[in-house]
Amino acid sequence: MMNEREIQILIDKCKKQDTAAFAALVAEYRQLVFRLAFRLLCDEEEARDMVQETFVKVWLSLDKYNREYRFSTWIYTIAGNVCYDRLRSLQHSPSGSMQGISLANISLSSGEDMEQSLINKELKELILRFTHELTPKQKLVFMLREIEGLEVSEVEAITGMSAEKIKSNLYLARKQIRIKINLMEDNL
Amino acid sequence: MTKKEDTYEQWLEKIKTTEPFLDNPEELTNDILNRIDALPSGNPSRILLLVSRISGIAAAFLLCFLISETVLFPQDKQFTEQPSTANAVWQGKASFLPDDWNTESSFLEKSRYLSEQWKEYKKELSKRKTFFLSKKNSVENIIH
Repeated sequence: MMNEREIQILIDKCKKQDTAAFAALVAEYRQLVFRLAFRLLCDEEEARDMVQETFVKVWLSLDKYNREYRFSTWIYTIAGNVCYDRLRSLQHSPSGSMQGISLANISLSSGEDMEQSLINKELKELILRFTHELTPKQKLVFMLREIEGLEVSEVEAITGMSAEKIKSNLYLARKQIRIKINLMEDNL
Repeated sequence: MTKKEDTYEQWLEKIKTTEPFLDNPEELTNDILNRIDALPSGNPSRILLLVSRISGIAAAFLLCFLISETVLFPQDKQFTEQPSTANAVWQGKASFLPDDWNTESSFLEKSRYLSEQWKEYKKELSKRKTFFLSKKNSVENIIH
Protein backbone atom coordinates (compact mmCIF):
# COMPACT_ATOMS: atom_id res chain seq x y z
CA MET A 1 0.00 0.00 0.00
CA MET A 2 1.46 3.31 -1.08
CA ASN A 3 1.38 6.39 1.10
CA GLU A 4 -0.19 9.66 -0.04
CA ARG A 5 3.22 11.21 -0.85
CA GLU A 6 4.20 8.38 -3.18
CA ILE A 7 0.82 8.66 -4.86
CA GLN A 8 1.28 12.39 -5.40
CA ILE A 9 4.65 11.69 -7.04
CA LEU A 10 2.99 9.18 -9.35
CA ILE A 11 0.24 11.69 -10.18
CA ASP A 12 2.86 14.29 -11.10
CA LYS A 13 4.51 11.77 -13.40
CA CYS A 14 1.15 10.84 -14.94
CA LYS A 15 0.51 14.50 -15.70
CA LYS A 16 3.66 14.35 -17.84
CA GLN A 17 2.07 11.48 -19.81
CA ASP A 18 4.08 8.79 -18.00
CA THR A 19 2.06 5.63 -18.63
CA ALA A 20 4.32 3.48 -16.44
CA ALA A 21 3.44 5.67 -13.46
CA PHE A 22 -0.21 5.42 -14.41
CA ALA A 23 0.07 1.63 -14.54
CA ALA A 24 1.35 1.75 -10.96
CA LEU A 25 -1.64 3.92 -9.96
CA VAL A 26 -4.02 1.50 -11.65
CA ALA A 27 -2.41 -1.43 -9.86
CA GLU A 28 -2.83 0.40 -6.56
CA TYR A 29 -6.49 1.32 -6.97
CA ARG A 30 -8.02 -1.23 -9.36
CA GLN A 31 -9.17 -3.51 -6.54
CA LEU A 32 -10.90 -0.59 -4.77
CA VAL A 33 -12.74 0.38 -7.96
CA PHE A 34 -13.58 -3.20 -8.84
CA ARG A 35 -14.92 -3.86 -5.33
CA LEU A 36 -17.22 -0.83 -5.46
CA ALA A 37 -18.35 -1.57 -9.01
CA PHE A 38 -19.00 -5.23 -8.21
CA ARG A 39 -20.97 -4.38 -5.09
CA LEU A 40 -23.07 -1.87 -7.03
CA LEU A 41 -23.60 -3.78 -10.26
CA CYS A 42 -23.28 -7.36 -8.99
CA ASP A 43 -21.70 -8.50 -12.22
CA GLU A 44 -18.07 -9.32 -12.82
CA GLU A 45 -17.88 -8.29 -16.47
CA GLU A 46 -19.78 -5.07 -15.87
CA ALA A 47 -17.49 -4.31 -12.95
CA ARG A 48 -14.40 -4.85 -15.12
CA ASP A 49 -15.83 -2.47 -17.73
CA MET A 50 -16.49 0.09 -15.01
CA VAL A 51 -12.88 -0.21 -13.82
CA GLN A 52 -11.70 0.53 -17.37
CA GLU A 53 -14.09 3.46 -17.76
CA THR A 54 -13.05 4.88 -14.41
CA PHE A 55 -9.33 4.78 -15.10
CA VAL A 56 -9.71 6.23 -18.60
CA LYS A 57 -11.62 9.13 -17.03
CA VAL A 58 -8.97 9.45 -14.32
CA TRP A 59 -6.27 9.68 -17.00
CA LEU A 60 -8.20 12.28 -18.97
CA SER A 61 -8.98 14.49 -16.00
CA LEU A 62 -5.84 14.22 -13.88
CA ASP A 63 -5.32 17.97 -14.27
CA LYS A 64 -8.58 18.57 -12.46
CA TYR A 65 -7.58 16.56 -9.40
CA ASN A 66 -7.68 18.73 -6.28
CA ARG A 67 -4.91 17.78 -3.87
CA GLU A 68 -6.99 18.92 -0.90
CA TYR A 69 -8.81 15.59 -1.16
CA ARG A 70 -7.30 12.17 -0.84
CA PHE A 71 -6.68 10.51 -4.19
CA SER A 72 -8.83 7.57 -3.14
CA THR A 73 -11.76 9.96 -2.56
CA TRP A 74 -11.31 11.33 -6.07
CA ILE A 75 -11.16 7.81 -7.53
CA TYR A 76 -14.28 6.90 -5.56
CA THR A 77 -16.00 10.00 -7.02
CA ILE A 78 -15.25 9.01 -10.61
CA ALA A 79 -16.01 5.32 -10.03
CA GLY A 80 -19.21 6.22 -8.18
CA ASN A 81 -20.39 8.43 -11.05
CA VAL A 82 -19.53 5.85 -13.70
CA CYS A 83 -21.34 3.06 -11.82
CA TYR A 84 -24.28 5.30 -10.97
CA ASP A 85 -24.76 6.15 -14.65
CA ARG A 86 -24.55 2.46 -15.53
CA LEU A 87 -27.04 1.53 -12.82
CA ARG A 88 -29.46 4.13 -14.13
CA SER A 89 -29.12 2.99 -17.72
CA LEU A 90 -29.66 -0.63 -16.63
CA GLN A 91 -32.67 0.42 -14.63
CA HIS A 92 -34.20 2.18 -17.64
CA SER A 93 -33.31 -0.43 -20.25
CA PRO A 94 -36.21 -2.83 -20.94
CA SER A 95 -34.16 -6.00 -20.46
CA GLY A 96 -31.68 -4.77 -17.93
CA SER A 97 -32.84 -5.07 -14.36
CA MET A 98 -30.18 -5.87 -11.80
CA GLN A 99 -31.76 -9.22 -11.11
CA GLY A 100 -31.52 -9.98 -14.80
CA ILE A 101 -27.79 -9.44 -14.69
CA SER A 102 -27.25 -11.69 -11.71
CA LEU A 103 -29.29 -14.59 -12.96
CA ALA A 104 -27.90 -14.42 -16.45
CA ASN A 105 -24.35 -14.70 -15.22
CA ILE A 106 -24.67 -17.33 -12.55
CA SER A 107 -23.00 -19.92 -14.74
CA LEU A 108 -19.40 -20.33 -13.75
CA SER A 109 -16.53 -19.32 -15.98
CA SER A 110 -14.13 -22.03 -17.20
CA GLY A 111 -12.90 -24.67 -14.78
CA GLU A 112 -10.02 -22.63 -13.39
CA ASP A 113 -10.42 -20.51 -10.28
CA MET A 114 -13.61 -22.31 -9.40
CA GLU A 115 -13.33 -21.25 -5.79
CA GLN A 116 -12.91 -17.57 -6.67
CA SER A 117 -15.87 -17.71 -9.05
CA LEU A 118 -17.94 -19.26 -6.31
CA ILE A 119 -16.98 -16.42 -3.97
CA ASN A 120 -18.14 -13.85 -6.54
CA LYS A 121 -21.32 -15.77 -7.21
CA GLU A 122 -22.10 -16.06 -3.53
CA LEU A 123 -21.37 -12.41 -2.96
CA LYS A 124 -23.59 -11.19 -5.79
CA GLU A 125 -26.46 -13.36 -4.54
CA LEU A 126 -25.91 -12.09 -1.03
CA ILE A 127 -26.01 -8.45 -2.13
CA LEU A 128 -28.96 -8.85 -4.48
CA ARG A 129 -30.98 -10.77 -1.92
CA PHE A 130 -31.93 -7.53 -0.15
CA THR A 131 -30.76 -4.65 -2.33
CA HIS A 132 -32.05 -5.32 -5.82
CA GLU A 133 -35.05 -3.07 -5.33
CA LEU A 134 -33.06 -0.07 -4.09
CA THR A 135 -32.84 2.98 -6.35
CA PRO A 136 -29.39 3.71 -7.82
CA LYS A 137 -28.97 6.65 -5.42
CA GLN A 138 -29.92 4.60 -2.38
CA LYS A 139 -27.65 1.79 -3.48
CA LEU A 140 -24.69 4.12 -4.03
CA VAL A 141 -25.09 5.84 -0.68
CA PHE A 142 -25.65 2.54 1.13
CA MET A 143 -22.56 0.94 -0.39
CA LEU A 144 -20.31 3.91 0.28
CA ARG A 145 -21.48 4.56 3.82
CA GLU A 146 -22.42 1.14 5.18
CA ILE A 147 -20.27 -1.29 3.25
CA GLU A 148 -17.20 0.76 2.29
CA GLY A 149 -17.43 2.50 5.67
CA LEU A 150 -16.73 6.04 4.44
CA GLU A 151 -17.46 9.15 6.51
CA VAL A 152 -20.54 11.24 5.66
CA SER A 153 -18.26 14.11 4.58
CA GLU A 154 -16.50 11.78 2.15
CA VAL A 155 -19.80 10.48 0.79
CA GLU A 156 -20.84 14.13 0.36
CA ALA A 157 -17.69 14.84 -1.66
CA ILE A 158 -18.11 11.68 -3.74
CA THR A 159 -21.80 11.91 -4.54
CA GLY A 160 -22.24 15.69 -4.45
CA MET A 161 -25.30 15.20 -2.24
CA SER A 162 -25.98 17.15 0.94
CA ALA A 163 -25.64 15.42 4.31
CA GLU A 164 -29.44 15.46 4.68
CA LYS A 165 -29.94 13.83 1.31
CA ILE A 166 -27.37 11.17 2.21
CA LYS A 167 -29.08 10.47 5.52
CA SER A 168 -32.51 10.21 3.95
CA ASN A 169 -31.26 7.88 1.19
CA LEU A 170 -29.48 5.77 3.76
CA TYR A 171 -32.57 5.63 5.95
CA LEU A 172 -34.75 4.53 3.01
CA ALA A 173 -32.20 1.93 1.93
CA ARG A 174 -31.94 0.43 5.44
CA LYS A 175 -35.73 0.46 5.76
CA GLN A 176 -36.13 -1.34 2.44
CA ILE A 177 -33.53 -3.95 3.38
CA ARG A 178 -35.16 -4.52 6.78
CA ILE A 179 -38.54 -5.00 5.12
CA LYS A 180 -36.97 -7.66 2.90
CA ILE A 181 -35.37 -9.35 5.90
CA ASN A 182 -38.69 -9.30 7.77
CA LEU A 183 -40.44 -10.88 4.80
CA MET A 184 -37.78 -13.55 4.55
CA GLU A 185 -37.86 -14.30 8.29
CA ASP A 186 -41.66 -14.46 8.27
CA ASN A 187 -41.63 -16.93 5.41
CA LEU A 188 -39.28 -19.27 7.27
CA MET B 1 -31.00 -7.36 19.66
CA THR B 2 -33.90 -9.03 17.84
CA LYS B 3 -33.38 -11.90 15.44
CA LYS B 4 -34.18 -9.66 12.47
CA GLU B 5 -31.63 -7.08 13.58
CA ASP B 6 -29.15 -9.87 14.01
CA THR B 7 -29.79 -11.10 10.48
CA TYR B 8 -29.25 -7.57 9.14
CA GLU B 9 -25.96 -7.19 10.98
CA GLN B 10 -24.75 -10.60 9.88
CA TRP B 11 -25.69 -9.88 6.27
CA LEU B 12 -23.90 -6.53 6.40
CA GLU B 13 -20.80 -8.06 7.97
CA LYS B 14 -20.68 -10.84 5.37
CA ILE B 15 -20.75 -8.34 2.51
CA LYS B 16 -18.14 -6.14 4.18
CA THR B 17 -15.72 -8.97 4.77
CA THR B 18 -16.14 -10.74 1.43
CA GLU B 19 -13.87 -9.16 -1.14
CA PRO B 20 -14.93 -9.81 -4.73
CA PHE B 21 -12.27 -11.60 -6.70
CA LEU B 22 -10.73 -9.75 -9.62
CA ASP B 23 -9.68 -12.24 -12.25
CA ASN B 24 -6.57 -11.44 -14.33
CA PRO B 25 -5.80 -8.01 -12.85
CA GLU B 26 -2.73 -7.55 -15.05
CA GLU B 27 -4.81 -8.12 -18.15
CA LEU B 28 -7.23 -5.45 -16.93
CA THR B 29 -4.37 -3.01 -16.38
CA ASN B 30 -3.07 -3.73 -19.87
CA ASP B 31 -6.53 -3.16 -21.34
CA ILE B 32 -6.70 0.20 -19.59
CA LEU B 33 -3.25 1.20 -20.84
CA ASN B 34 -4.15 0.11 -24.38
CA ARG B 35 -7.26 2.27 -24.25
CA ILE B 36 -5.21 5.21 -23.04
CA ASP B 37 -2.68 4.71 -25.83
CA ALA B 38 -5.52 4.66 -28.35
CA LEU B 39 -6.85 8.00 -27.11
CA PRO B 40 -6.16 11.00 -29.34
CA SER B 41 -3.26 13.09 -28.10
CA GLY B 42 -4.29 15.53 -25.41
CA ASN B 43 -2.15 18.35 -26.89
CA PRO B 44 -3.67 19.89 -30.03
CA SER B 45 -1.16 21.55 -32.34
CA ARG B 46 0.11 24.98 -31.32
CA ILE B 47 -0.93 26.57 -34.61
CA LEU B 48 -4.49 25.37 -34.13
CA LEU B 49 -4.50 26.78 -30.61
CA LEU B 50 -3.09 30.10 -31.82
CA VAL B 51 -5.60 30.38 -34.66
CA SER B 52 -8.50 29.57 -32.38
CA ARG B 53 -7.31 32.15 -29.84
CA ILE B 54 -6.90 34.86 -32.48
CA SER B 55 -10.28 34.16 -34.03
CA GLY B 56 -11.83 34.20 -30.58
CA ILE B 57 -10.32 37.60 -29.80
CA ALA B 58 -11.37 38.94 -33.21
CA ALA B 59 -14.90 37.72 -32.70
CA ALA B 60 -15.01 39.36 -29.27
CA PHE B 61 -13.79 42.67 -30.73
CA LEU B 62 -16.35 42.51 -33.52
CA LEU B 63 -19.10 41.83 -31.04
CA CYS B 64 -17.98 44.76 -28.84
CA PHE B 65 -17.85 47.01 -31.90
CA LEU B 66 -21.36 46.03 -32.97
CA ILE B 67 -22.70 46.54 -29.46
CA SER B 68 -21.03 49.93 -29.13
CA GLU B 69 -22.37 50.96 -32.53
CA THR B 70 -25.85 49.93 -31.50
CA VAL B 71 -25.84 51.25 -27.95
CA LEU B 72 -23.64 54.34 -28.13
CA PHE B 73 -24.43 55.59 -31.65
CA PRO B 74 -28.03 54.80 -32.43
CA GLN B 75 -29.37 56.26 -35.69
CA ASP B 76 -29.63 59.95 -35.09
CA LYS B 77 -33.12 61.40 -35.04
CA GLN B 78 -31.67 64.88 -35.56
CA PHE B 79 -30.89 64.12 -39.19
CA THR B 80 -34.24 63.12 -40.53
CA GLU B 81 -34.94 61.92 -44.02
CA GLN B 82 -34.20 64.77 -46.41
CA PRO B 83 -35.60 65.46 -49.84
CA SER B 84 -34.01 63.56 -52.67
CA THR B 85 -32.21 66.68 -53.95
CA ALA B 86 -30.54 67.23 -50.60
CA ASN B 87 -29.61 63.57 -50.34
CA ALA B 88 -28.16 63.78 -53.79
CA VAL B 89 -26.07 66.73 -52.67
CA TRP B 90 -24.75 64.67 -49.74
CA GLN B 91 -23.95 61.81 -51.99
CA GLY B 92 -22.07 64.18 -54.33
CA LYS B 93 -23.93 63.09 -57.46
CA ALA B 94 -26.63 65.73 -57.82
CA SER B 95 -27.44 67.64 -60.91
CA PHE B 96 -27.84 70.62 -58.48
CA LEU B 97 -30.38 72.54 -60.49
CA PRO B 98 -34.03 71.97 -59.55
CA ASP B 99 -36.50 70.58 -62.10
CA ASP B 100 -38.47 73.85 -62.37
CA TRP B 101 -35.34 75.78 -63.25
CA ASN B 102 -35.79 78.27 -66.05
CA THR B 103 -33.42 77.13 -68.77
CA GLU B 104 -33.13 80.63 -70.06
CA SER B 105 -31.69 82.02 -66.80
CA SER B 106 -28.40 83.71 -67.01
CA PHE B 107 -25.13 82.13 -66.09
CA LEU B 108 -24.81 84.56 -63.16
CA GLU B 109 -28.14 83.40 -61.73
CA LYS B 110 -27.09 79.79 -62.00
CA SER B 111 -23.80 80.58 -60.33
CA ARG B 112 -25.52 82.43 -57.49
CA TYR B 113 -27.94 79.62 -56.91
CA LEU B 114 -25.23 76.98 -56.87
CA SER B 115 -22.99 79.01 -54.57
CA GLU B 116 -25.88 79.30 -52.11
CA GLN B 117 -26.36 75.53 -52.30
CA TRP B 118 -22.68 75.05 -51.67
CA LYS B 119 -22.72 77.36 -48.66
CA GLU B 120 -25.70 75.45 -47.24
CA TYR B 121 -23.89 72.19 -47.79
CA LYS B 122 -20.76 73.47 -46.01
CA LYS B 123 -22.87 74.79 -43.14
CA GLU B 124 -24.61 71.44 -42.76
CA LEU B 125 -21.28 69.67 -42.90
CA SER B 126 -19.78 71.80 -40.14
CA LYS B 127 -22.93 71.27 -38.06
CA ARG B 128 -22.53 67.50 -38.36
CA LYS B 129 -18.84 67.74 -37.54
CA THR B 130 -19.60 69.70 -34.37
CA PHE B 131 -22.27 67.21 -33.42
CA PHE B 132 -19.99 64.18 -33.89
CA LEU B 133 -17.15 65.90 -32.02
CA SER B 134 -19.46 66.60 -29.08
CA LYS B 135 -20.60 62.94 -29.14
CA LYS B 136 -17.00 61.77 -29.25
CA ASN B 137 -16.10 63.98 -26.29
CA SER B 138 -19.04 62.68 -24.28
CA VAL B 139 -18.02 59.06 -25.00
CA GLU B 140 -14.45 59.83 -23.98
CA ASN B 141 -15.74 61.38 -20.77
CA ILE B 142 -17.75 58.22 -20.07
CA ILE B 143 -14.74 55.99 -20.71
CA HIS B 144 -12.36 58.03 -18.56
